[in-house]
Amino acid sequence: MNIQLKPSTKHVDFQSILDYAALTNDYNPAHVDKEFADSSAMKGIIAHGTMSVALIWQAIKNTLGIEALNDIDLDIRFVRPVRIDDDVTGGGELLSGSSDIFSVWVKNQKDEDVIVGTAVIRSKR
Amino acid sequence: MSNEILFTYDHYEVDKIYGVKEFVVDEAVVAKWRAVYPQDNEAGVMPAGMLSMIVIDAVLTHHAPRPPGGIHGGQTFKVTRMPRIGETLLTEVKCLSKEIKKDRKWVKASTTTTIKGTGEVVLTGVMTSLIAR
Repeated sequence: MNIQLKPSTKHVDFQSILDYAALTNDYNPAHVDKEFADSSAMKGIIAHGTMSVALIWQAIKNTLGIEALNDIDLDIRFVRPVRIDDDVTGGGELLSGSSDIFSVWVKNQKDEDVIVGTAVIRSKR
Repeated sequence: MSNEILFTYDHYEVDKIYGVKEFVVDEAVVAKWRAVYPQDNEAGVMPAGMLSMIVIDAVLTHHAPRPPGGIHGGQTFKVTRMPRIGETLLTEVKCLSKEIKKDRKWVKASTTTTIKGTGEVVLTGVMTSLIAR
């Protein structure tokens, strides 16, 4: 069975990064201070990694229903920063030969992975 | 200039439990979330994206103030039930491990989130962070 998660997309601008900082009370200057960020190894503002994780949750919920979120293991790595004005999309697909393990990802508008991982979704049926 | 002592890599103690952070899932905080993520509009259920927010809130409360410039390397979530709006969550923070690899300082913090009043575990996870200093 081939199950693709319905992709969920978000445009990330500086205001949305500031809004997320306020939500999480995470004002790391790497996310909110342009002067600091420009002089850092990242060479510019990066969005909070977890800001994009929401898109994976949305893709799972939009495909398998909200009940699928009630018994799930998500394991992710942040592999590339998200920059101001990136369009990021979360999605995934059932791994070949598996009944409950999905490959999940978030990609930017260049089709580059920004988050990769797996989700074990036990209650999807 | 602030005289605040930063919570640096050297301050982390493996296996130490740093405490618990309370998080009330009320309509006001969910409304703020939905202002950023309008798709997350299911009635009665906390948006799943907020799970990250709960973990970050707890970790940053107990491992603070952090040196500026650290980044989030990875995260695991084991969800047994999505919290509902109106519930109060208690998240315990523990230092699971610390390691220097290629001059980079990595810390893993484990979290356990329960429902206040019943003790039901709804979320456990591990947050992997690269610490700036």
